[in-house]
Amino acid sequence: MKQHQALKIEELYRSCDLSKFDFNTTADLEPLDRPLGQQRALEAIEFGVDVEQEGFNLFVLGASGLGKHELVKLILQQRANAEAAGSDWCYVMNFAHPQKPNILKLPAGLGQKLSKDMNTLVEDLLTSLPSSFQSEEYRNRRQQIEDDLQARQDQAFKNLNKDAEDQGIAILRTPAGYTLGPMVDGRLIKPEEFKKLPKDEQERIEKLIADIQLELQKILRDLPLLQREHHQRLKALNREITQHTVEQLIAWIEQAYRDQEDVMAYLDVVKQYAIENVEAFLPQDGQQEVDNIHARVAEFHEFSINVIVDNASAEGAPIVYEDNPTYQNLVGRVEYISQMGTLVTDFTLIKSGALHQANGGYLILDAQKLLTHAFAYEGLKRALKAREIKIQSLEQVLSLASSMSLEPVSIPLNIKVVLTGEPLLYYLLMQYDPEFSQLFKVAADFSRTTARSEENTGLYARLIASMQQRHQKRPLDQASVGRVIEHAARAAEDGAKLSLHLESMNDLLTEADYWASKQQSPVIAVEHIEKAIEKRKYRLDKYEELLQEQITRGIKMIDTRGNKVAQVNGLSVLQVGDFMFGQPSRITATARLGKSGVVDIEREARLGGQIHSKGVMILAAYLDSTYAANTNLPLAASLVFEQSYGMVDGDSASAAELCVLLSALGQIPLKQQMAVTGSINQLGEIQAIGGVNEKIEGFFDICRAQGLDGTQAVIIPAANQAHLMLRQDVRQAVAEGLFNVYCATHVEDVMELLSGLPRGKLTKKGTYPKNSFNYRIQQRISELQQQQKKLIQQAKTTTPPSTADDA
Amino acid sequence: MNPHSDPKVKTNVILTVDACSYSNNMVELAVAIAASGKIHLHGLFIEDEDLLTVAELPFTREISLTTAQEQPTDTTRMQNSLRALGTQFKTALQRSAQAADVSWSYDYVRGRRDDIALTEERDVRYTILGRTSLHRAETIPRQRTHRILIVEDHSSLIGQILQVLLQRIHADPLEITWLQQGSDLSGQTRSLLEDLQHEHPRMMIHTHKLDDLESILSSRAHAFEYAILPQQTDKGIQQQVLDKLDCPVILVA
Repeated sequence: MKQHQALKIEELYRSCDLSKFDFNTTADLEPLDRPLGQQRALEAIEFGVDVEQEGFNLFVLGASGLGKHELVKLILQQRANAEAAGSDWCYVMNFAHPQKPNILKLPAGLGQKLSKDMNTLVEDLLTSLPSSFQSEEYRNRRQQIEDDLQARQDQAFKNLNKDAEDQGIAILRTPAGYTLGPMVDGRLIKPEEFKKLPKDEQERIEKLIADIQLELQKILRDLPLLQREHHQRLKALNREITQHTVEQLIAWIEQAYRDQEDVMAYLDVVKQYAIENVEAFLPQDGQQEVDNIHARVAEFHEFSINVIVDNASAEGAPIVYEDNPTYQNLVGRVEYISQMGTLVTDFTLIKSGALHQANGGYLILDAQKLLTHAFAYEGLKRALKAREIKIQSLEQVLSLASSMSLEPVSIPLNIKVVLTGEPLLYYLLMQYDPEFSQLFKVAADFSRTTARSEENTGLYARLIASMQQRHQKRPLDQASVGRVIEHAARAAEDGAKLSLHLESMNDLLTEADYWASKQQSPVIAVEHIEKAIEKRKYRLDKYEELLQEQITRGIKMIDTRGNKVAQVNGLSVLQVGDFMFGQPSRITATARLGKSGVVDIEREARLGGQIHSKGVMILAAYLDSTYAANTNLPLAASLVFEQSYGMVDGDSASAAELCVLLSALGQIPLKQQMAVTGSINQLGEIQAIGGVNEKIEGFFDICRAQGLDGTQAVIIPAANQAHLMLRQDVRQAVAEGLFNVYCATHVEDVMELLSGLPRGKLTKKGTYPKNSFNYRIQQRISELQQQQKKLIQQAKTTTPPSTADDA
Repeated sequence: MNPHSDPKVKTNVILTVDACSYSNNMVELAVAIAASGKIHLHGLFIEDEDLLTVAELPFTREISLTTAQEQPTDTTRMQNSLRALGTQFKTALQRSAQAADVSWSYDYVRGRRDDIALTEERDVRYTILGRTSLHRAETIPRQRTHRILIVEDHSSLIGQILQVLLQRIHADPLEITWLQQGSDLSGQTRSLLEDLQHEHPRMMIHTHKLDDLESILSSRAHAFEYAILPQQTDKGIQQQVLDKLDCPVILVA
């Protein structure tokens, strides 16, 4: 039989050797100014940031806690500092179409200045225009116009009145207008006198009155034309006076903004508007001219400048992280105020979104938050595709509202968007959203682990130093740095790797700092790290403890002594939140004559996952090809995880399942003081599994509870040996010869260890030596085949054929 | 009780208006004058008998000032129209007088405006004769130059009435055409005008001899907003002013 050597103590744990590094505490180390182990992601981010082509936005994928945000911000900050600050963006009144506010783009800092200058202009107009209109020159010219109108009206009526009087007709005012009557000797003719007049005279007078009446009507109809002409003359005068004043007052602003084409065009419109609406600047009847000028300035909101993006204090290009990426927080919104029970709005109520704030720079968004806010992702894509920001309410986007609202002019968008998220999100978006790949062409994939090389060990120590300095915590002494690095390897589930999950590492350091502070220690020592690990485990291992208790009390049946046929200890890993622990599970098998092959009871009960079922099918295939390659295998076998009431998945127990099946088939007793983990392939080779450390420790804890006697051991795949980073107490037990860990590369290795029997070498006759476990299996199969033949013969001579299973 | 019918109550301001001269502006002026002197105001609406006479003719039409459209009229319709205007005048008078806490009364009479106004025999300080041109609208443009014609009478009441008018025109420019018997202003008048000019810097005064009245009325009759004449002025001059001017005329005692 092959001599199986238990792993040596040094093979169970890869200690951190920092003797080559010259430092006493992390305070002596230079902080790490670059990310560790994320070279691929780093290059991808730098590439994505450099390429200015459309669609080269970034998706930074990686598990939470890897430091994606910090790294992205760091790189972007370095870039942004060297770039020009973003522009100021201001919405202003569109005097021609008030519902479509215009936009002004200004160099950083000019937005607020223009806003103040416009307020000053309004103040100037409010004080200067009334003065202009109170000047003697204006009054005289206006008086002339009004006198002229009066004179023309008077003249028209006087002429008519004189003509009428000359012809003996009086024009009289009535409450509603005019009436005409005949006169004689300067007085009106009375009706009885009129009746006495000859018929011809009466007709003459009536015709005369009718003619004058027509003239009067013509004058009255012309009055509005005279009024219109008068109004136009007054308007022209007002315009002349206003234009002169406004041009004088606005000249200094035009001078200040002469290089800004947009502003100059805007000021031109403002000038025209002020000239056309000069009455607004003049005091109303009874109003004091300059009482509370600031209150009056506020009334002229049409001259306001709504600075939606103010980069006055910006240094470099903007970097915006929007923590709450709702649709409106991204693309901006138009707010409303209630006036007399009605919601009203104007351009001053336009609010910017993150896209506005980040325009000309970088916008960082959490992909999951973006996708969970209704229409936020759609809004972002629309803006990126159109390369402009269009402020529309969701009601407008979805055509749910038909009421009139503002339609602000769109703003050109020049931005680099960086999405961060879990890899799953990235792959789902790539799979199901064709636009995603067009808009986010650069993926920056963050690694969970990095190689535990000597160089990286040194860098990791500096990384720890960086964290401590950044968070102003106690420095770590050299030994505790080594312990943290070892813990990082354990977290990576690989002795040759280091976890890059910076968040959990920082949490560990924070907790260690806490325990150091409790002892008033100036530095964090190994004991503080150990305490932090222990206490963290303690806070989370309630369920592990409960399960162990059930085993030690015999409620959950696990044997750690003796030999038993068709029973083996498998190992599984449970995860509660972010805490993993291992526990043994009893796996049993039955084998009898039949045709149904290997039945996975978990699968039949619909408690087995697909991977587990696959594992069982693989072991059945191994069984067939190994022991019945040229004949049939009349076997009805079953496998089950005893006392398991939940889902079972994964194939890490397939090696144990094959061993227990072989035990049941060959009636081979298996050592219960051993547990097995590992998956198998169809050739019987043992393959690596996950959670190897937790599994070993889980079985060790049970053995220790039931009494260690030096025979207890765990068999693991040889490929997992490099992953071993076992606890100190496990290593101690191994050192004292109380516990062992074996590696196996083939299922026959495992069977030898479990049964104590050799595998035996297959002879030319196709048989195994009698003392081997393979011989027993072969013999058993042969017996089953004989029984099957016998039953078939009996069935042929006595009864009609029935199924083999029935037999 | 109608105070005017009470012989113990003395009327100090009388405002006469008819169909073509009634305006709220006139009412407010009369109330302001009465309030300034804490004196009684009597409003007199004159139903112009000429209108009723004309309305009786079979072919008479009324032409709308607003639309220039004609429509037939008769005595009844004209009578109703005048009564309605009279009621409107009374209501406006009541509202303004009560607001200014001015004692007031109202009456109406049928006749001819100038005949009645000039023959009223009461103990009055001010008689305001509402007048307007055939076409003039009531609205007065803001910030225009106001022009007043005054015939000197050495009365202290001139000063009071000017104060009232100045309050009504606020800070607008004011141009006073001052007609006097002699060539020089009296000391009392000079002092009055200096005080007013101090209070109202934008006031200009043009002095003329009374002999210039006819030429002034011929050339600038339409420009005046008010005219102030002494009651004791020669009736011929009063009639000349009333004939030529379209603005309210205030006769002072």
